[in-house]
Amino acid sequence: MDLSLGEDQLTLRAAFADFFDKESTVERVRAAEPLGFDQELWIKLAGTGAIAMGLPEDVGGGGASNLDLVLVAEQYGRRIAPVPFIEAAAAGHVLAAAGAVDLLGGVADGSTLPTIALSPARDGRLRLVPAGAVADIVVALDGDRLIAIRRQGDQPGARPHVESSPNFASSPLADWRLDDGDLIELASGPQAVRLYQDGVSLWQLLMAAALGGLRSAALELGVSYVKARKAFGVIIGSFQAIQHRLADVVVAGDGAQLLVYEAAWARDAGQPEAAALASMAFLFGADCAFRTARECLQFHGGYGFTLEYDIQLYFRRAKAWPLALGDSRREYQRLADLVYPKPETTGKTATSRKLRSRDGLLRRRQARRVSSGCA
Amino acid sequence: MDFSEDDRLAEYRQDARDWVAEYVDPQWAEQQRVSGSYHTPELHSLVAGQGWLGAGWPAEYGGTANDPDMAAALFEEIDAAGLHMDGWATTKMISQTLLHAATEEQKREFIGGALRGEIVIVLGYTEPDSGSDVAAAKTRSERDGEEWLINGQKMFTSTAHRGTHVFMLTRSNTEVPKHKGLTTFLVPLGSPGVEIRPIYTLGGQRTNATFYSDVRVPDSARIGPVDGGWGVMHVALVFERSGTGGGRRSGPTLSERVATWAQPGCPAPRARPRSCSAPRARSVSTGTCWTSSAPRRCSAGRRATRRWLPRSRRRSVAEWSALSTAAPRRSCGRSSPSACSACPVPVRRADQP
Repeated sequence: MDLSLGEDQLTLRAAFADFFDKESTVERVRAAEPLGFDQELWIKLAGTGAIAMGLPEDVGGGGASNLDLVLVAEQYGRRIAPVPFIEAAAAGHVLAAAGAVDLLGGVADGSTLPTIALSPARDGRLRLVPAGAVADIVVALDGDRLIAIRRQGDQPGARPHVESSPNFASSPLADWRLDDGDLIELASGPQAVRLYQDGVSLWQLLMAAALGGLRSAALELGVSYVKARKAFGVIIGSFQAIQHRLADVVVAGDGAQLLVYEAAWARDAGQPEAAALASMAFLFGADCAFRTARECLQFHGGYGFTLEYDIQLYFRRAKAWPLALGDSRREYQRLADLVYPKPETTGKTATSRKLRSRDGLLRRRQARRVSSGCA
Repeated sequence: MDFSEDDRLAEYRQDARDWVAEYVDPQWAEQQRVSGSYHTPELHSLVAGQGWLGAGWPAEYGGTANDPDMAAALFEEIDAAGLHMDGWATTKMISQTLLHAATEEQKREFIGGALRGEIVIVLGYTEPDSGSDVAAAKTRSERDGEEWLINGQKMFTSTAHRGTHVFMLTRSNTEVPKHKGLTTFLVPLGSPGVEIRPIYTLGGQRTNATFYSDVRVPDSARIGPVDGGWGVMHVALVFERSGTGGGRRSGPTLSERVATWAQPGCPAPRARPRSCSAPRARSVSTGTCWTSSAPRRCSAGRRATRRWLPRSRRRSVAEWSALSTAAPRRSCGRSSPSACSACPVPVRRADQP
């Protein structure tokens, strides 16, 4: 076991820390609201090679590891950059894995922006697709088909293509219809589901990393505020009530970061538990990021909920970024199925129907008691 | 970066398991559970007699030629067999402290005795009125010619009823700031004036309150300089807080057992415990990472702190909370799941208090 970062990784992290510090300033982040997209930053980011860095070299990518992507995503999250880096990386990964090389044209230089719909299509619609308002291609699951929809006739650089759905994080979320562009089937059957789930899993991993970066920046804001603000003649950071809460989020955050790195390592090493770890990293990371942002917002007192102070920018995203995937309780249930062997269910629909009837439920309980010998 | 668990002790594990199968009496674990005393003298003498306590220690203080890796594997297997060695845990901490803080003569006497299994040292820091604020200790030590008189009371002196010595923090000077008036002693528990009263705890473990009235010890029992006890404590607390290991449990974790139990076969709602267990599995995974990262952080110059608990402790915190969150409001007619053959989750694990 060796949990240190290598020389190359430290360099990579420092380079992207610099990039986002310089290019994604608070002023730029604020200026990009409410849409949450900065075209100029997007093109600049493409110029660093970041968007295609995780793709295989034979399709024009950088062949970077998942850990490399995680390090970039952390810096991206730290400066809450108004560009869909994570969505493009996950969608690009699925397109490459499905062999759709022609759809990857223009992805590396930022002229084509791909994204991934995090919920399968329903009634011909994809709801609240992250980066949906600015994307040119959306990768999605429709039944057991993995599809890509390519929007036609849009002028490059004329983003957004459609209006975004107003949301708490200022993210360019938008609905797509399956007939919003050319529909290309990439795969079908179990293979399609597998490719899609792997894409969502990568999104979870990178989102966990981004939330980790967000958390550390929110914490910096909180700490610098409690060290400056005075009450009762002393800085408020000298109060134990504040120190304990800060210590709690730091400890939890350290754990969250380790979990993200472990999940990235597991993906790189082809470990069977990679998907479960990505899900854990996402859930724990989301939880820690929101708790940290919430505490640090509260330390700001009344200023915390004014728009002037920057902590609100982090608070809103910590709450809303993870929601793109839907209800976390559903994700916890899915994680339970990944981590523990599935319960033996026979005739699930028949069972549910029986469960709905009170009499059926009681009968079932009775039968169980008798059969398990503890009546 | 590499998260794969490399098992340094892999080649010793089978031998260690064989050793446990050959020498360990299966009743010892049950005796510990029932009595709440986490020190089995027979086991301690057995391990010491074969030279395992002295493995890796300097030969001049009683170290043996036994392979330290084998010894480590052995202790983990003993732990996995549900046996605590709390007496050795505290004796080891203090012996390590003595290496740094004691005189040559004391090292030979006390470390040598400890490694031969003749001396079992317990901790005497906490008092009725001071715990975390350890330097606020009030137990008095007063010089009387070549001897010292000790008067006071210590709390949570675990294993004292089976130990031979207590490593004691005392106040030798009341005229100076609290950190500057402390002196440490290694006091024989058999001395006249020492009284040990049991304290039973929620989880079944027995600890003690110990009382000291005019306990007389020679100056040779003093560890470190007069009024220099705080410096000795610095060393002792680092050894106490930086211990890792004893974490390799065999068999399913508690969250896994909850998840298994929550399957059909037991008439209890099952979706909730399963999804509630999922975050616990997450925290177990995080805990494992935390523990693994502790030595790296320490070697990188960061101080070992309370945060880096031994893995065993961390797991049990995560897992006990799994039990409390996940326990369904009702199961079958019996009062506890363990009483029902269809509910295989034990209410209390053999290796837990």
